[in-house]
Amino acid sequence: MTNEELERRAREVRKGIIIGTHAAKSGHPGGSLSSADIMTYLYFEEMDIDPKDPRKADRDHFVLSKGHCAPGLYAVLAERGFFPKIDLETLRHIGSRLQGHPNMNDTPGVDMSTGSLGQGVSAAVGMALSSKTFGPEYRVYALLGDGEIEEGQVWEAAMFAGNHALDNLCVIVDNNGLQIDGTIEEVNSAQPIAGKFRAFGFHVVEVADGSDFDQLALPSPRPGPPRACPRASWQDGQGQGRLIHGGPGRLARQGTE
Amino acid sequence: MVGALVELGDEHDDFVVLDADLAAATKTGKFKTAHPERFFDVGIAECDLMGIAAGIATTGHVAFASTFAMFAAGRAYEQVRNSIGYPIST
Repeated sequence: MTNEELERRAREVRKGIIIGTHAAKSGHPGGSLSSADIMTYLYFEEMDIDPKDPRKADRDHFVLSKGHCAPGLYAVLAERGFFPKIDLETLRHIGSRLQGHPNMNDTPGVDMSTGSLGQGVSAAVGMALSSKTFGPEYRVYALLGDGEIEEGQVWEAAMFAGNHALDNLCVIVDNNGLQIDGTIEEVNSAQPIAGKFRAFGFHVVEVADGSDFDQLALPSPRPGPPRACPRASWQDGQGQGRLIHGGPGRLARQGTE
Repeated sequence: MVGALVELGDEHDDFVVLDADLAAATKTGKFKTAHPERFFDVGIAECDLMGIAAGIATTGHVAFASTFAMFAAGRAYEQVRNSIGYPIST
């Protein structure tokens, strides 16, 4: 897929996020938007998946460990054809299969129920371990937030993945710099993120601009350690508004720091 | 119970046993001796123990996660609730 086509798809995903969170008058548009490009890249370029057969045993798996960004996952799944885009308007409504956090029981294409931060990455490790132990061969992608990695369980999982050389696992950190109570620096930063994952035995690919699809092109799978991809998804000083935690009405405009 | 696990492992090759550095006390070490390729020790990390078991379960395989009751029910309560209790195995 060309970069132009990926960008067009990513715009549609962003629209889907806005449509869903506006219809819900709730949700997490900020973290969803900051990860729209990476999820678009994964679902349209990187992963081997089939929307007509969402539970295919040898599909690549995706775990949205930062599960509160479900509006982004739903938007990309709808754009990819897992369910009708009109469903996005039912986000967080009673009776909808699009809950506030991903529910693998009800939503086609959701590989793991997540939302409580730090837990999804362990499940991703379990999926990767299952492939190594029982087959079939597939790859597992886990998307984490840079606030989420303050959870200790993330590092328990990373230690196991590194020690077991799970080269079918790719951990991606959306380094958007924000968590609920402020910037990650103001709260309790996990930086240096790349250095930490290296220390846990990961092959780390740093991406300066997570909205540049050329930079998002991940290295081909190969034998070796698990991969981690901390990425900057938001650039300071570009005059952009920042969507923060809470309802879609809470658009916080922050100046250059 | 562990004798049963070893016997199950003899008869079935579609499950794993996990422990969190207590294999000697819980006796899952006997399973490790009998079927080392299907035994994984996650170390002293009960939350990860339950999360890994959950991930394996989503792929349709059974994972026996073993640790002391206080850690399973207390330390990893929320992982058992959210990662294991809510999802349905595929």
